[in-house]
Amino acid sequence: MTDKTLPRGTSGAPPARFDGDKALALVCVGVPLIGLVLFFLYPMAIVFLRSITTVDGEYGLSNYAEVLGSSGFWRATRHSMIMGGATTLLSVVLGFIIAHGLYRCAFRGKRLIRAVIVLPLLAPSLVQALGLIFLLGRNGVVNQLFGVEMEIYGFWGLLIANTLYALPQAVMIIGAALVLLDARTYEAAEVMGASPMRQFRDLTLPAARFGILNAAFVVFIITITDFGNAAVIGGDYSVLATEIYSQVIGQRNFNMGAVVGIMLLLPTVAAYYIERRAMRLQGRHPVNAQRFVPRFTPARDLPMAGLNLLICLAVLSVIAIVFYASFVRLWPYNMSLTLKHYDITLAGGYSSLWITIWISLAAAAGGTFLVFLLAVGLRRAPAMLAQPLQVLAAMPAAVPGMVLGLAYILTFNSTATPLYLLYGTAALIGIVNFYHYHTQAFLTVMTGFRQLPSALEEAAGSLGAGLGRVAVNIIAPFVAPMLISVFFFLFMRSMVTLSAVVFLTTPDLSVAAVTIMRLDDAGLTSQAAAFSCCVMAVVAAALLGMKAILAYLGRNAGTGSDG
Amino acid sequence: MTTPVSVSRITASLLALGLAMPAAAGELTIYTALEEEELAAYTEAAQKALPDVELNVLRLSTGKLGARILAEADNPQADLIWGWAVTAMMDPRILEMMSSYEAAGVDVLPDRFRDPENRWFAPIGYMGAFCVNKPRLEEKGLPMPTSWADLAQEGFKNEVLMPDPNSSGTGYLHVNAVLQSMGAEAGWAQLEAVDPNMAQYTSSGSKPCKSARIGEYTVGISLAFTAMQSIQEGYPLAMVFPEGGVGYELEANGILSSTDNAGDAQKFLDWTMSDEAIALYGEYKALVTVPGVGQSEAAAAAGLPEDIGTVLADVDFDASAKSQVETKKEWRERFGR
Amino acid sequence: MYLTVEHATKTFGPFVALDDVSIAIEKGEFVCLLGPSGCGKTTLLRIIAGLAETDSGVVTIEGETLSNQPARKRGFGIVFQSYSLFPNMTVAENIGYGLRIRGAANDQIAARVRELLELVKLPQLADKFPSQLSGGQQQRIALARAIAVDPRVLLLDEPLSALDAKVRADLRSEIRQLQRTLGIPTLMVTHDQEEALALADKIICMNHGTVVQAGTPEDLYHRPETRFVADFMGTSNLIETDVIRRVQPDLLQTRPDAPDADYIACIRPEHIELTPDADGTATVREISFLGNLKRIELDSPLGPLLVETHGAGGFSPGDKLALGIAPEHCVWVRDDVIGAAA
Repeated sequence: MTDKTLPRGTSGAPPARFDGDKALALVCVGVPLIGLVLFFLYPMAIVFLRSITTVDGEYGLSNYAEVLGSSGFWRATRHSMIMGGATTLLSVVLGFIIAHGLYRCAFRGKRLIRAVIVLPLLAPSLVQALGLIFLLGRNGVVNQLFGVEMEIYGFWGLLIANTLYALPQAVMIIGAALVLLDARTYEAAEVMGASPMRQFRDLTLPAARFGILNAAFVVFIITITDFGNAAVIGGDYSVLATEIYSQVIGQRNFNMGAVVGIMLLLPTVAAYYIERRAMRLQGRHPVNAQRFVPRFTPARDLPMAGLNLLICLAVLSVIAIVFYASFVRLWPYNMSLTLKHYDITLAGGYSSLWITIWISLAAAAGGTFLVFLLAVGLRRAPAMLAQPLQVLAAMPAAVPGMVLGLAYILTFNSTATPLYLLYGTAALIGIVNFYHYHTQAFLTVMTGFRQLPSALEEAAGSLGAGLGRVAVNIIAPFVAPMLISVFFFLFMRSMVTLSAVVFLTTPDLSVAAVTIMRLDDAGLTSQAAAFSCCVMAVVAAALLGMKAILAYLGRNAGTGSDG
Repeated sequence: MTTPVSVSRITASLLALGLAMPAAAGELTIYTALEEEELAAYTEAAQKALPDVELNVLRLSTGKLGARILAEADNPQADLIWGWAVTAMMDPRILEMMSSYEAAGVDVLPDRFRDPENRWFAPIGYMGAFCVNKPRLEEKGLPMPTSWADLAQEGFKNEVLMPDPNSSGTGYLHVNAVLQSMGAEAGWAQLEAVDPNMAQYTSSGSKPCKSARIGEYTVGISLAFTAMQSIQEGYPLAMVFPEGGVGYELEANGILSSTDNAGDAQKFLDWTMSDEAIALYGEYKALVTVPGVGQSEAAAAAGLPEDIGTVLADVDFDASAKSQVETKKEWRERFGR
Repeated sequence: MYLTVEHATKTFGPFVALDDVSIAIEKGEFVCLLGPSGCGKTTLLRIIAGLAETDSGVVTIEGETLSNQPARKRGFGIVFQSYSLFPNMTVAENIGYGLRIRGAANDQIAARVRELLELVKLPQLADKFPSQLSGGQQQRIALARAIAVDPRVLLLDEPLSALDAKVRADLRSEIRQLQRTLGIPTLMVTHDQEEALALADKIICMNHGTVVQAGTPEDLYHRPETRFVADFMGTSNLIETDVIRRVQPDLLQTRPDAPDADYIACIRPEHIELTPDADGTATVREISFLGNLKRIELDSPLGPLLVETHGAGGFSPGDKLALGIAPEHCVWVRDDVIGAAA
């Protein structure tokens, strides 16, 4: 132990006497904080008020009593917890395999793996649902081929669907922890005679713990809040999100739905608390610029490549079968090919696609910027402020989209505040998309920030750089890979997310996900699939375009960024 | 990348949307749950008939629309509700928001298709149906079911789907019809008998039919509209109305009292009872409550009887609306999974 | 006094990192803060740099109080132990960064960068990225980056500890040379007494958050005031008063008048003369050959002793020897090591 670990470990926060910097640090924390308060905390406070509003319009806990007294609620809770746990375990293991393959192993085709693994993020939920049914359903391809009748509706189908959706997010967060690991420690371990297995156990796992725990946290809460998969493939496996749907949509009883929505925050807060406790045992990981370049090691890389390939094939097949089916005349009864499903005139046709792109770009750019500001600000904020703020920033994923969307109506469709001006605007749709995915964006950037050595900031500070310069010249380039993946993540999700947005569209303003839902509602499932494929193609094209621009900029700047 | 023109256009529209208010004079915001295809036809005709009024129509499914209308209740955004399930409309919280208006021509409707206080009237409706996948039925060697009782047969084990009445209006439509047409005791017993064969209770009303049409299950207890639409597309489905009567739902229209454009809203409601509109209903709807409207082609093709009354259950909507909370609760206790 | 720290106190929870510490650096002086891990030396450096705050106490430079100035306004240069080069910038960009912040013209920056690269003898590396450099090269660049802005004080936080022995020795002499040439007042934190002895004009020896002794390297080596300093600065033979009184009372003449337990005799290994003597009281236990000298472990009436000789004396283990210790070479130091007697 050197004498510097003690003071730094216990205090961490740099001095608070920055004058101009102090103001800037305040802005860094303040602006995202105001955003979180206005667009998350305030709507959720209104949800909470609704949850304690009784039938006769008074405040009381009778709604809670009723929910807690129903056996359906406890069954759904048990199911949600089991499903959350199982999905978390599976997603984190598979996510780690992929992230480890991508960043710590040597084999070809990583670009392809990276591309395939994000597919579930850019696919509208309908695609995943259809894909799984076409593939694994009772009348699906697998059952037809092997002449069996496998039953996917229920626990197993839901587990697969949730894992598909959670996997790319787990990879994103775990990857953020693995990509920046220092090569030197591995060289040191190698020299000391540590076997690859030992190195993995003693170096990789501990170092990736922050990422693994963050990923587990995110996967757990997006699983227990997800409604789409549960409705389509969950069969009778009722979960808390289906309880909310049944209350809010089926019985038009928002107050009771709000109770379940508020209850969903509890396991989330608990999970977050456990995660933070576990984190505290791990000191900050010292890192420097030595990048790890894996050398081909057959014993490690061949199985890893095989596993990666297998997972990617599974993901790809689900999406690909829908793509194929969108050209099939009448799945599964008339398999001749046709383009007719692409001739979409109902539900507004293709018009919603373009406005969705703009909204998504704005949500992604604004969101990435805000999350970056917040992460920078948190480094300078006193612990008293930083800790509650971190919990707040990690909370939004705990709110099912449906609850968030309705909360936005209750909050912003009130002429009582100037926020009313936002109601019915594209801006509000962008905002709800960002805050819906705030948790994932925030935790990914924070995972990157943890790898940032404080010596870099301190050195820049001593050279005379203020916080603004440090943020732009030092921090931003360092966490650039995370910022880019957060931007793409927000963009992809904004393009296809339905749950919250469905309540905020207006007659003049519809988004692609709503068009898909309307086509499917109209029974035109093949057209909905075709439209989904168009959305995926547009998103993919946009992503490739942006990557090309980034690569071009990167080359011009001649920096060593290798994200 | 885009041209500067489209950027500025979007900016302009964002600004305009930034000031979104309940539609001003000359504009109507209409919330509807009508099906896309008919909606497109009706809207086009209505817009032609009312050239000075800009019709802004928002379409959502019955359940989501209800959630939205109630969430917006403190400051309603819509001027009109058009073609929305009457069971939902009869929710006291919704009725409270509606204004009375006797649309021109509404007097031709029998009393049970209009509110005594003229807050809503329902010239059209939709009905439930069994969607039966013929190849799967054959493969399983099962007889074509013609009644709820048939679905209780051993061979249908895990081959039947129906929507959960607690999540779906369609689910309630069926449960209510069974209870009202057979009487409460016999009705519950019937549902009890079918329950072991139910593979799932789904949250969406059209899902059972969509699952049945691609051969995932044999019978989907669902909507006639989805069945007809699927048959038209070519799916090997049979649409079956259970003996003893199938449930149906009325699609009601009404004006929200918060509207600041009551004049245009009334003109629109008048249009929904115009000869032109009624003629269009005849083209698209299986269930038209306006007396003397002939059967639509699609309905005939799908095998709907000419006198629709023969297949409909005898439903008392008032009673159905009043008992729905109790019924759903009891259903949940008996069949909740 | 160019730079002073007066009565600095700093606690982290129950842990007292600095306990009323005062130090001073003269213009052009090279000062080493020396002490074991956890003695508070790095905390003190960070306080001077403006990277940490004191609970109480002031830092001044040329009479001006710095306490309210953030690090970036102090105009100091700092080099850390870990590689703190900005990974996204080239070597040249790293060195020029401070000047860029100060708004210097591009050609001016380029010239200065060239000059500094020459100075640290790495002119060929301008366009490389830090990840392409060896550890020693990185620290040279970090040094160049720190002095590029003509800092008022250069702060070095264990800059050599992460390097291997040969590179460390080379860089050590270069730092010394550079500092002499440029005359920048320099404060270096180290736990390596050899490094401190070689580099410093003045050594400030710290322990448990306090300054134990400050002075020239010769002072600290030859005239340690406490047992801790004597022990930490090289090796020494520490012998309790009653043993001296019994075996060689003439050494007591330099002892301050105080209770036995307060002072202890410190005799450096090179100050004990050995003569072969069959009737000698000391016996050779072991001999290690260190090139230019020999280290001999003895058993003697004074207890086990360590002696270093340059002579060619051909002793072998088991030989009997006579000891010669001149009273002026026996330094009496305060016994400040708690519980050491046990």
